[in-house]
Amino acid sequence: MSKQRKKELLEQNNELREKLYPENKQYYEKLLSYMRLGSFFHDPIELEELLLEILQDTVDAQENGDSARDFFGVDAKTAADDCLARIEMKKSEGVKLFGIVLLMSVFLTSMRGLVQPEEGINFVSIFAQILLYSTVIGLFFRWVRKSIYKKTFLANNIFGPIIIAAGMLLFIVPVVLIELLSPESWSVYPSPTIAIGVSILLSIAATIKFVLLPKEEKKAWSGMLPIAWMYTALTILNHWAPFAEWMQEYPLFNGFFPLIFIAICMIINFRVINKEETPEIFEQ
Amino acid sequence: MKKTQLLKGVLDGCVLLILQEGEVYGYELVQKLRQAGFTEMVGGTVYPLLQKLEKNGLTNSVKKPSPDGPDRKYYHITEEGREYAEQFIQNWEEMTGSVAAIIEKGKSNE
Repeated sequence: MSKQRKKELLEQNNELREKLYPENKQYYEKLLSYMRLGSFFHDPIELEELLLEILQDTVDAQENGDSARDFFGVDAKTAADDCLARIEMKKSEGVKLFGIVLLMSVFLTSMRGLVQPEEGINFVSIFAQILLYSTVIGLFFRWVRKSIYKKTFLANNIFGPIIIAAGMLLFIVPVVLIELLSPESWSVYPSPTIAIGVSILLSIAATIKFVLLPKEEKKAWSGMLPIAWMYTALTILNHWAPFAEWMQEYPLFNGFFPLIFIAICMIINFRVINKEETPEIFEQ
Repeated sequence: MKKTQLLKGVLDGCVLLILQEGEVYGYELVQKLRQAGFTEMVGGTVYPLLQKLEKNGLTNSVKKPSPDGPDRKYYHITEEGREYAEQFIQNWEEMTGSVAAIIEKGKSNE
């Protein structure tokens, strides 16, 4: 029931938003992204009803010759914070979010073991990496939300995407440390059939989840999906006889190239999220 | 002193007094406040206030069909809200009387 109502509200919002002039639409969408990204623990129906109410009134204001800024005010961030503070908190939303982060962490950690059979899947390593990924994902969303109303150094700098990509690559250090320090006795080694099967299933699940996401949330996850597909492709190549030898012969395909691919995906993701603030130099 | 700071304490009462005249939706309320002299009033101030009044039981809302799209949320004053508004008028009259007396005294001493 609540899921259906949320879907209905999202559809109504998407449809009505098209009535806004570009400048008003940009103002409203900033507000919308800021509030949605800050409401992971709030009642989603109450939030969407409020967003739709603001949108309806903004359309009215526009018809009367007022801009969205004239109507809602210059300090939209403070108003959005005030509104969010009054929306009911829902524990179930927090549990749902924890579930998503947990699934994503399990996906990222077990993929490595699936890609390279000799590495295996270590349960201590999975647990440590879940903690690491949850922290990094949490910090990433916090930063994305913060950069909506504040011209952060990274969002405003032409080297921003490169710095972010470098930061992502630095991520390898704790991952490698975790792998080195995890006791061998906690490892399992999946057979090629299981490895390929599981990685395909994980990729399909990630794709379905992505397709079902609301339009605005897709932006935040758009760079993640190709990474999942890349891992599945690598798993197949490493385990499938015709390619396995070749992959071992050229270790760059398991190490350096995937990292470059991940970095490119993150840069594209960064640009999609920050499209409105992207410096002109990137707008070709 | 900033006008907004003074406004904070009295806006609840003003909104309830407007609602006593009849139901309104968000944009209508912003316009009515502007027409009443709060010319710098914006939606960003009104929505959190409407949320607060509704959560405190001073107002309630109903959805009504709108010719331009999705159902529209209209706000009404509750019985509790009316009592609050009456109390507000009483407090305001007492306070403005005292403030006016102090201002007059200050002016005559100048």
